[in-house]
Amino acid sequence: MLVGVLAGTLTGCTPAGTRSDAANVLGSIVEHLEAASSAVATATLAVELHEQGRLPAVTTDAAVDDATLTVSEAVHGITTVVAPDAGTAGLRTTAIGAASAALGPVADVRTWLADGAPEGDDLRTALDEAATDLEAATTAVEQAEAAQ
Amino acid sequence: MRGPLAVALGILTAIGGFLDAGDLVTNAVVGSRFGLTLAWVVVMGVIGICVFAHMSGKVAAVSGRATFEIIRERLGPRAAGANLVASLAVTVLTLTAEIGGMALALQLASSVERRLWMPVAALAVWLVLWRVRFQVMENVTGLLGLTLIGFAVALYLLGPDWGELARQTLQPAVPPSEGAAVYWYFAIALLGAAMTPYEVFFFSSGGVEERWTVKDLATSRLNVFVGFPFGGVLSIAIAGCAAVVLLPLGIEVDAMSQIVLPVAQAGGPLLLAVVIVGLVSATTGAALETALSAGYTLSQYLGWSWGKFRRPAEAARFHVAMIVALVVAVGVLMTGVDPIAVTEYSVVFSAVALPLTYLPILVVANDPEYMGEHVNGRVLNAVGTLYLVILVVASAAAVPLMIVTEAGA
Repeated sequence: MLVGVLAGTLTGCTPAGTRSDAANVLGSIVEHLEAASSAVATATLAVELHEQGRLPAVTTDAAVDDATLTVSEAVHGITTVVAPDAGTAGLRTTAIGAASAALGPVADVRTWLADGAPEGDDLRTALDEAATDLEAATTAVEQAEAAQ
Repeated sequence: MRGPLAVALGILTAIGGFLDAGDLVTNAVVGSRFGLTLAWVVVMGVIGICVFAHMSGKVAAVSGRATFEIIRERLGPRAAGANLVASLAVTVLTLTAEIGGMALALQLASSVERRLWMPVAALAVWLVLWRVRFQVMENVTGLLGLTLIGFAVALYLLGPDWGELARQTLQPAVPPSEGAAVYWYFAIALLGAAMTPYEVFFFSSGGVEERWTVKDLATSRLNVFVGFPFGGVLSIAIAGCAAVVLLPLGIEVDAMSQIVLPVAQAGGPLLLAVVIVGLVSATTGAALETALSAGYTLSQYLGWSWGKFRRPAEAARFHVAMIVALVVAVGVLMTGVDPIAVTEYSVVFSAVALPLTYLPILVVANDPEYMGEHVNGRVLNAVGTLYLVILVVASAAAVPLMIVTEAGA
């Protein structure tokens, strides 16, 4: 049982970057994009609740800090997967672009909390655009995954 | 304290002390991904922990000895040793998750980085273990933990489609966005969270600390069979909040800060503050219980003097064991590992260790040498045996499912 547990832990912890066939790589990219989308949605909800006076600045800051970490880990995760062919590499580049572009608006929320810049409307627009780009990238990768 | 007041206090403490980091995180993760389609597992887990905590409490009340002491005597050092290794490993992992949970909860109220809170949290736990009386410790954390009722209030204020929630609960099905293997992986995680091994060892050792006798059996039964189910209701409320607010937005919970967003949406800063107090209390209470459980199991197996009813100098090795467990927990957390990931792994490995924990309790609760006329009846044995079969299946499936699903990814 102990051996099984240890083997399970090692396999369960295996980084997605070691999976090198196309279907698994695309599946891994989708997982990271979904994590980034979840983080952007979290930041957006936190901003809305803070503007409504429902979420104090300290808790908003903690939520956005976690969201920033999730997006940056997603970028790292997508960047380090080994694409087995040019088509997969192209989709990975698209995914890296979408996930990286989300990092800025999410990080900006903490600046907005500190001194009110950028404006709340601009911030929400940037977050919405990031969410849309991530969704488009996810759809593209999912379609390629389904075609495998 | 005697009479109805003591009974009420015991029940309230049981409700407030039911939830720990594993319950909080797992229910929120499940709610944000599966809605309430896994609520049946919480119900099953609560019935299971009621049955085995009752047996464990009965052993302590009738024999005047903690379950683990008797397990070693009854099953011999080798079988009890295997039990010790598995239980202690899972308990220390759970302690790590609880200290991490305390730090995350404190971060929500302060915005101070979690790693700065971790040693502070562990030091606070040690000070309480060192200085505060057992009953005071139990009652304070249990009663403050009651503020987690804020999740049930939040769910009510969110005004969800109750019919839809009832449909998800009563007609569970794997959501189209998730695979069957992931569904069953989280079912096992929820079972592990509800039936964490440390709970029964703590419950029986706590019975000895509080000097239970056969006269206390009725009170113990009430605490378990009333308090724990209400705790289970709070678990489902946490999943419900995530299902109503986070699931439609595509937010999959991977941080403590996400768990409280539905509460803020429903009740604003006041309800949020109440719930954060509950989060800190629940994780602190569970950290105290897991640290004590580590000390209890090790001391009871090795025959050391143990218990908070003794002065620390009279149970030095028991206290050292707890300090070592705390140091290990902080050491693991300071490597930068994600406390939420630790929590998720702790509940799955709890599920793996469940049969090792619960089989000996069933054996001892049926031994007339220890239990006299209070051995289990047929119904309790039938339910206990059924649960053991379920736990063996869950234990065997946990690691393969973790591999197949990449830990529920």
